Amino acid sequence: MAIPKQHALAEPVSPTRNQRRRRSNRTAGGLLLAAIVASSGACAAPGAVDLTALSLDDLLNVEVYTASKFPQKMSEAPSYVTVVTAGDIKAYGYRTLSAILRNVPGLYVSYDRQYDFLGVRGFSRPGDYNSRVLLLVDGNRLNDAVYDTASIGTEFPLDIDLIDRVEFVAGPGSSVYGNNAFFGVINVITRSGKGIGGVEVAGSVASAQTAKGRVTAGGLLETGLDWILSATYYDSHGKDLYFPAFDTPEMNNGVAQGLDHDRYASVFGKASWRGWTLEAAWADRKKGIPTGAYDTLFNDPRSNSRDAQGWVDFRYSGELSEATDVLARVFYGKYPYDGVLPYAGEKPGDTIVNRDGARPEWWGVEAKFVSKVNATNKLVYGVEYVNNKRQDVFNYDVDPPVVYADTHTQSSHWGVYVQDDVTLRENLVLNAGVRYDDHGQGLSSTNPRVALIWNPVPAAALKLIYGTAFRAPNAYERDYTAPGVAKPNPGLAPERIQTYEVIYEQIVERNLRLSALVFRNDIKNLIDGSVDPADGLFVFNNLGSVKATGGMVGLERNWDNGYRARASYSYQRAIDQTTGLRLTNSPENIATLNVSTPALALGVRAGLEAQYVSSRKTTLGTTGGYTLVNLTLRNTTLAKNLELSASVYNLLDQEYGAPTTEDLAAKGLDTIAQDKRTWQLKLVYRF
Amino acid sequence: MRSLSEKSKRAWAPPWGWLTNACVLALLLGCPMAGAADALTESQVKAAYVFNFVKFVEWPAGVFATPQAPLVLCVAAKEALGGALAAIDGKPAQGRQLQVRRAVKSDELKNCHILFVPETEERAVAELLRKVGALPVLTIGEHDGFAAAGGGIGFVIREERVQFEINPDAATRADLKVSSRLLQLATIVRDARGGSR
Repeated sequence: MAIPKQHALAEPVSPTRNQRRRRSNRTAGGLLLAAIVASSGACAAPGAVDLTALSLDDLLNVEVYTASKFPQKMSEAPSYVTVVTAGDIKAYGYRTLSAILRNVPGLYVSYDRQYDFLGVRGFSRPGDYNSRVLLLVDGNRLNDAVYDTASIGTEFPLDIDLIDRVEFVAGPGSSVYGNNAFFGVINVITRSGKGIGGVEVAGSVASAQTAKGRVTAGGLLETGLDWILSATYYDSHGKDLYFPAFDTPEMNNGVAQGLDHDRYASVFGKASWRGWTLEAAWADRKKGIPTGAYDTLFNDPRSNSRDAQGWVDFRYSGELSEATDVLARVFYGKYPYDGVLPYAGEKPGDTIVNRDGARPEWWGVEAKFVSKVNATNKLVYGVEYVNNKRQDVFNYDVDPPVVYADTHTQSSHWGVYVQDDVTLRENLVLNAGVRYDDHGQGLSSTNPRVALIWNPVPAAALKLIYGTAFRAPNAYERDYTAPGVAKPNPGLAPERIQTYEVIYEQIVERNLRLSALVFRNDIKNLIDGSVDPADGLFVFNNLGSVKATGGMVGLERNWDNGYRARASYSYQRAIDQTTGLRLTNSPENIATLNVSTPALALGVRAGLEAQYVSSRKTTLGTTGGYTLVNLTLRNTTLAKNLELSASVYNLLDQEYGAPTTEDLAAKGLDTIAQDKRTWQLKLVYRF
Repeated sequence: MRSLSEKSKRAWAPPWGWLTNACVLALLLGCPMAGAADALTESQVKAAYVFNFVKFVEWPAGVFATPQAPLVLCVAAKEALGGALAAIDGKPAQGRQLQVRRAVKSDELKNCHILFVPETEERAVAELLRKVGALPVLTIGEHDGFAAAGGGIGFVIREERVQFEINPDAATRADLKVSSRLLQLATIVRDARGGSR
């Protein structure tokens, strides 16, 4: 039968998640913040405390600022790595992985009130589900087997409070990690049971009628078993949202009532014993769709999407011999997604509920070896096999029942890699590696990375890096079939990126760290969806190519009295090679500032962060730049084992928008307003 | 572009204006508060630990020339712990006076009871530990893997707290008795084999 015209699948410019496709101001705050940084250095160190009066028990419980010093020898990592610690998460009141990544130099995020999207080095396609970034939790790959989704918003399956640290490794990582490590790798490392050491209960309330609770238990047993179990529940009623673009009487005057609701439950468990670790997680999030995305009926209370995901990971890490370490793992993951999408029916007043969904499920094995061959060579090599046992994608109307899509595919891929860290001279290291990946169906990719790392002095490093990475077409792009609407394209080639990078890092006087880098990204074969004029069917092809150039300067300073500050400025210019124009959702300038303090008056610590993002092109025009300032105040001394914190996000109450996909832009919603000022109060108690 | 509706009937709207202003003011004027243990810096915590370690370690008879001889804490650098060691210098410990000596050279170690190796001296660690050898010196180090490399006590940071590792092999070599209370609170590590990593 004919598909209703306004139906998502009939209208390629307004696809459902299963058909999302490519669309193709002020810095005054900075001065104020700089003044704060300057003044903080002038504070006298607290000298009055009698250090000899403190017992071991007292000392074991004192929370300190961990990054107060930098290692003397610069990291030999062949990339620029930013680390965000559990301390930062508390200091800045981070609530999502997206918030953590926002202030990593050169990154920016946007929220379409359903998912968070990460921009890296000037590249962020609204609606790409972050498929060009690899997301790892404790080394386990989370990108799903249908859309390659890297969840960073409230759908990220791990409670942020369970994170020990997040490392963002910028640049191509395919020479070690294979698929998806295109612009960078997000490596999330979870806390240990020993660190919990008992029971931790956390509760918070926040604006938009939001409440969250968490219970975590963990410890290190006499037998050497380190364990952790945690459960979280989050419920946000959300505010009514007003969209000027939809301000007509038929669309409730542009107000989406009660549709920004967001609710999730998650559980996490980990047990480690003598190098063996078993880890499992599950999370289920339901989010209202207030934007009328995918051309659904605006302000229909039924609109929602549900993203559940989880994994089981069993791994061993230990010494194979005196010179060789091994990491071996077996893993399983799944990510069921379900969308409930109401559309207008044929007759006025009729509505049709469309169900959109996917059932990615996968398992795999991996082994990695680190071997000190001799005094000058350190080899890293490994092999990985992944079986995508289920890549189902479906789309159907409930009543009258019509099935538009019901794709069942399976695939598997494997990769093998080797990397050698060669010490050429005492202050010169060559890091060279290559990985071969076979994705079946004649699709393979070989990705090298070569880095030359020179330490002119031990506290400085100059790194010259060349590397490539790829992203294989995912099941949705390759296999999605909807008779009369969309067709598969088994001939899709992987997306490719070539990166040239020069990084300079230096530690000055032990507590000041400077870094600077320039990069160039050549991106080819970007996979885009469009309508084939020959048959009118929606199909994905390798269409786009982009050239991006840019640079970053960063500064990080830690004072002995506990103040910490870091600042960065990055410039990026990403040009679509087909049109010669700047990409949409690609800011030219980004600046970040983070300042955290030790306990000030009344034992309150403050964490202030700011991000400036310059204007971005949107589908239809441009959206202005913004300065986002967040402030968190925290107290750990009011009562023993009690930690209180209060945060205000977007302190300046800035109005700013995030560019949308072409389908929303076509309806007049060219940008989606991001949250104005919001707040959170949080309490953590440890037993 | 603005879309968050002010029409929400149930919106919670506390008076943030004055509060945030107050916060910024606090930031501008604030200085670390002295007194509370929680206001300590990492360096101060470590210095306080060093002072505590002295109470839980027993040196072999004969290392002190006289009952009044000071307990000498040598520092393998001109300065360490951001000056926090000054707070324990000259303080009574184990019935003696703790004396901090800075910029101690590797050939002067036999006059030390404790050798503190600050993280600035990471490159000298192997050499210093070799020089200490079996001398009755308690070595305390700041950088990762210090105890596993043969040092006596190594500081580690876990969950934003300063913890410590003890290497009983090193204590035995130095003929030091470490109290079980201290061992209980520490993570025990042994000499690393071959130093392959």
